[in-house]
Amino acid sequence: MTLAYYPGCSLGHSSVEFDRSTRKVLDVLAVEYKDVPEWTCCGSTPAHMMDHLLAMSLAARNLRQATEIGDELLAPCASCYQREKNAEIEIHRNDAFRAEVNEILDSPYMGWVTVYALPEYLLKRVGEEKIAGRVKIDLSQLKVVPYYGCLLARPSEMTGEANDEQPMMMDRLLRAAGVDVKWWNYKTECCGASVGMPKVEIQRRLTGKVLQQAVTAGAEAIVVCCPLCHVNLDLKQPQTNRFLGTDYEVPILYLTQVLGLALGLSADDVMLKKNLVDPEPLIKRAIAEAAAVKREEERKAAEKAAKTAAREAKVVAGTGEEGEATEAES
Amino acid sequence: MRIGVFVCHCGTNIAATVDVAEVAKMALGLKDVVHAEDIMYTCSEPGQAAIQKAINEKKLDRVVVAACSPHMHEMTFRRCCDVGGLNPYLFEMANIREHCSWIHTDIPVATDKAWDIIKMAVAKARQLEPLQPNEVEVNKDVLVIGGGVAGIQAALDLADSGLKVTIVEKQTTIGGVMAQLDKTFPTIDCSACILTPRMVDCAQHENIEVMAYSEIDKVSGYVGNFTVDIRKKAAMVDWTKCIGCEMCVEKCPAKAPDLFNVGLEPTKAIYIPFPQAVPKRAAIQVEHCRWFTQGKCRVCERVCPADAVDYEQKEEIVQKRFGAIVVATGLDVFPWEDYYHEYGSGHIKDVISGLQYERMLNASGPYGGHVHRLSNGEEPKTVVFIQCVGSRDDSVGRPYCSSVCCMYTAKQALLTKDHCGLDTEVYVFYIDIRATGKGYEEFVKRVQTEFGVKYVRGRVSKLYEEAGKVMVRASDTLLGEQVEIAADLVVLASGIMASEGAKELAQKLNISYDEFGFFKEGHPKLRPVETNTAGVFLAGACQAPKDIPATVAQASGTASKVIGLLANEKLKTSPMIAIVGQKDCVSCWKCIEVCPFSAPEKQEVRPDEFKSHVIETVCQGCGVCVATCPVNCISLKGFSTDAILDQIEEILVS
Repeated sequence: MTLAYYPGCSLGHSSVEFDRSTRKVLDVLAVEYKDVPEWTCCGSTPAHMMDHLLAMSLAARNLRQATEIGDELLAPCASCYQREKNAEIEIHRNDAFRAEVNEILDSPYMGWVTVYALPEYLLKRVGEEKIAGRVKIDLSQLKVVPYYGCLLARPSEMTGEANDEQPMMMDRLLRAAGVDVKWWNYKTECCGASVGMPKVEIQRRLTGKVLQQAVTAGAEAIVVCCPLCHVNLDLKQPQTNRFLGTDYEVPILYLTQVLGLALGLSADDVMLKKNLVDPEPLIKRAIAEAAAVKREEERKAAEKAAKTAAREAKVVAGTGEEGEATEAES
Repeated sequence: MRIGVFVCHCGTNIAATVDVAEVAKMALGLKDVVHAEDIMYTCSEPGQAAIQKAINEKKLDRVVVAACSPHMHEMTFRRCCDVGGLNPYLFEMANIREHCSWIHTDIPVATDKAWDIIKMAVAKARQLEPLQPNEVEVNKDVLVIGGGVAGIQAALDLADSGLKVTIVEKQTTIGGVMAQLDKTFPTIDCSACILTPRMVDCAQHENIEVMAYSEIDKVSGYVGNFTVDIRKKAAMVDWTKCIGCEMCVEKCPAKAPDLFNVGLEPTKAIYIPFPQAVPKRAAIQVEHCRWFTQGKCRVCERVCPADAVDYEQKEEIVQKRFGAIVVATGLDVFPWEDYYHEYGSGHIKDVISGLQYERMLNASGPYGGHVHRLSNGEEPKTVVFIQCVGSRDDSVGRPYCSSVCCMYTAKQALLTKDHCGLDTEVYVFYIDIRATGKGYEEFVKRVQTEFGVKYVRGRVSKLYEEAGKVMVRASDTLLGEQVEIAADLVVLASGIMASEGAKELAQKLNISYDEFGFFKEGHPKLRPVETNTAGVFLAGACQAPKDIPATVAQASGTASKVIGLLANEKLKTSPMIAIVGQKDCVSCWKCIEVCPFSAPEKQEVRPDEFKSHVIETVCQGCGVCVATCPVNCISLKGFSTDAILDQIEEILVS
């Protein structure tokens, strides 16, 4: 079945690398998709603060457009996902509300479209095994923490995350792709986006805290799935550094950029040049280190094999009888 | 036939919604009813006297009381009839309170319904027959399941009264959670100092047999005559030879998790939980033993001076008979790591549970009582306690109060000041402080004022590491402010839950449990130590979270109930049991299949001809076989098919 792809406004502009890398990853994973025809605003920020029915109708229009393709919709942007998912749940549950919404729409939404967040879709509809099976580049020396922010995991009964304090979907996908995922306890704390305009100093402190926690956890990069988180952590990293007197230089990567690299896409394919804190040196180093580690492992394995062979030769010669007890007591 | 009907007002409980005088008058018009009256409180002394007077004067041969639930007063009125000279099983009860007046508000409707219920009771009463209770011999031995302080207290009380007691404990030693505690509130006396002598008393008492490292496999029988299969687990050490010298533990090269020290430091694959263990015997955790996992080692066997190690040992089943069973299976600590991800899911080294802190504080614990940070070994300067972790929290499915955490946190806060100095900053985050026991409130006040522990009302929303500290983010709900504390050590007051396997044990014992696995008492006020299965009693935290004084009090209460029960040489059993009409029995044995008590047996009525027969003393009168029998040849005394059909007919006809 063809997946309806809803890019939303951010993916066309400020986070075009998220859009490009997502499409490429879907291609590699052989997911058939088509853009939602003539999609419109998801109803994020201004609308849903002002008028519930208007916001729901905006989202519902996209659900109706999606029915022309299929009954599964992928909204990579976490904010689009929340709006579309909310509309799905409320409209599907309540026929009277659906009628109210349909009053407003030019033509009614009568379908049953399921809305997926990006990690949710990859995990449930593609699967860890398939991703692990297609890994081409060894990223085992790339140390990252996945950062979920507020929109991707909460509330768990809506998003399907088992626990909204410690979501795991991105962790599982990154592990499947062979990436070194560090544990941390700051996955869902606020990045500061909601106060980025009116209370800049609060945004700086919150953003700084996320960067600091990631570094404390031993990560060299943060993986995100939300254009707003990305803006705060990446674009505003130098400003945050200036405000706090810090010197963080933590690359902020989209989930599909990391997955794409592991699946063999090039730096240009996933548009690494678009990230403001340059991730390319880190990626190159991680890949080189992985190769070195692999060589070292192979060398050790060869050495061990040689030793075992030598010991076996000894046993055959009848000199290795007493080895057992001394080894156990040591 | 001469039936008397007595309609109770129950004050206004019934009379406010049912016209009791009217239904009493109407009852006089029923066939065979020769007496009817309404009484203010039928269960009271004048009420019962009125029934007895009517039995005598009107020569009644059946009595119907329309009042409350039989659960409440059936026994009362049976006794009343008995004293009045009428067979107690010629009494029938009509429930017009719980089933009628309490659930209706409309007087004519409720009165109509009460009339229907009374007519049905009278119809059934006509079919009643006099019955005589059976008597069974009573086994005087008692089984105590669980060797914590509850089981120990109950066993010692019972043994002192002359009864033979068997304690079955699943760990290798008795002592339970109390043996793990450092000091006890509010007196700060040493837990082990008061418990371990009692453990030794158990081991040395001539009337007590301790079966450690054993579990209940199967329970059958009934009050006075239980048969229990006890599974003795394989310790891989012959305990008749083991002298508890710990040579094997010292030399064992394999590490294994130490449950007694709550995982703080590893123990060995062959282990003795603590020096005062009773019995002090070694056991091998086979999943961590090198011999069992890798097929080499056998060091313990070589160093054992008593030649006690036996790698071939198998578990065995021991069958024993008991007259009564005391269940004292205690508690488990809430596994906070699986639920409180905001507190780091166990990844932050300096965040530990209350029980781990007990072991850290304890002088004979893994650190010799040295309070320190697990991350770097330093003594903490700021310690934060968080209460209600796994208690009073719907989001983790634990709405109840664990009842001991407020007090043990206060105690641990005081001990922190004692161990690390009065200048240590100690904070307690709480929801409410529940200090209701004797001397408890005074103790908490002392901790706050004399020891300067800072109590902050509010829940902690997040723990995370920063610059070598554990950051504690919370709201102070009294000041209405966010607070953040950089702590060296955080102790979570993890709550109490029913012990692992409690539900499975309840099913074996045929006792009920609540949604959290705590065993249900017979009545929350009036039968707090009994269960609804005769002969099975409760003690301690297996019934609900409770502290040591409450546990010990309940254990002694339970012991006295058991002593009372076993003071009888014989027990009367209910005569309301199943009986097989053997001439119609087709020997299909369906009754044997369905009976939960194994009451029906195959009886040889003629050579090679077998029919079903219900053993009177085993049958509990549940009626399952009656409903199952395909040829309707089993009937239940006191609930004959005719009686029930008459009841139904009465209501269908009117």
